[in-house]
Amino acid sequence: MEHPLLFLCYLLQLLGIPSGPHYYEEASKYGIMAYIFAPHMVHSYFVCLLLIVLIKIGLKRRDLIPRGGQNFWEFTVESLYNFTRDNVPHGEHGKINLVPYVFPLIVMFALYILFSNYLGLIPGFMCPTANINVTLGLTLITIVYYHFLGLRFQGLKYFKQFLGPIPYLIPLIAPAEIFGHIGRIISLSVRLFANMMAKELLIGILLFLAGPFLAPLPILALGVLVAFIQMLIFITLSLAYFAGAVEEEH
Amino acid sequence: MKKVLGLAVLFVLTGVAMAFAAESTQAAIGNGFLGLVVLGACLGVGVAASGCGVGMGHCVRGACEGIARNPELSGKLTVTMILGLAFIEALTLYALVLSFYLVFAKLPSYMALIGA
Repeated sequence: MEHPLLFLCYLLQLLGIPSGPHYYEEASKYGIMAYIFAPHMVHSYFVCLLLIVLIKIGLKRRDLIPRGGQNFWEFTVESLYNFTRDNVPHGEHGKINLVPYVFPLIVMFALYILFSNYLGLIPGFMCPTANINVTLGLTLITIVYYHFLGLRFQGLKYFKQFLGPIPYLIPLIAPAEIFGHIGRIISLSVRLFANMMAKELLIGILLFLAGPFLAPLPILALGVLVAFIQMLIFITLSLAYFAGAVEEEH
Repeated sequence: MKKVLGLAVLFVLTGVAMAFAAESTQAAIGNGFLGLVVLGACLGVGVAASGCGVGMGHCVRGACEGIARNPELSGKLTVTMILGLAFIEALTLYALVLSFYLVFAKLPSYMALIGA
């Protein structure tokens, strides 16, 4: 949710760049800079920058016995690797090995969504994921990529999935399948967006109703949990779609 | 159940009456329309939340019974339950987003309707 007090947008305004909610609302007046430096975009860039810097610091010294930052990144990447391997076909029983194709994407999704969600908990910043445009972009990456993987591994047989097993039921099954694939776009993007927006909205309403100090605290504590769970759900569903696209129907 | 139905019918009739009562002035029609939209948004979130509440209750009951039968599985069951709860919760949030769209994103068109 965009609120008037955004530190990063304020810093950019000091530099003379039209950045901030009120510029974005009338962006047609201020030209393309107001679109490029819209609040959710600015915070999205900030998350990317933060991730790059943190990973560079973590990779600076690599010991055999990890300490500090290296320990954290090894734990993160190893957990994500195990999670990915458990949820997609990874070459067992002569099946295809999907892990090298999806693992970098899943790490990107997980870190980006997690850091974006947690950025909203800091006063003076906002969630980039509390904006439908950002979550729709992430979802479209997943959707395009699983269709690509399906075509890559199954060829034209991939389209047989849409038709169902029985030939004379095709007029019934095909529209339902296509509608299901369109529904995935809506459900995956709106789920993340709505959870983050609802959390921030609740914090805002409590701020105005019951004072700034103690009332929003339980919601903030819940927000830590919700941010992690939504990241987990996003990558779980992405992995389920990837696995469903490459596996043959039985 | 009858009472609830009667109350709902009363609400709807009040809204319709508000919409049709003062046909003479444009402003009253606009105000009644906005009232109906707000009523619909609030009722929509309420109905969605009640349905999701029932679903979440089933989910938690199943997890509790599973843990009572086999306490060793509590970790796995809790993770699965929380994932399921988050899926169910999203349904309520769809209704919330839709009602916000109805009330706030459409507000300028209502304002144009009443001429403000």
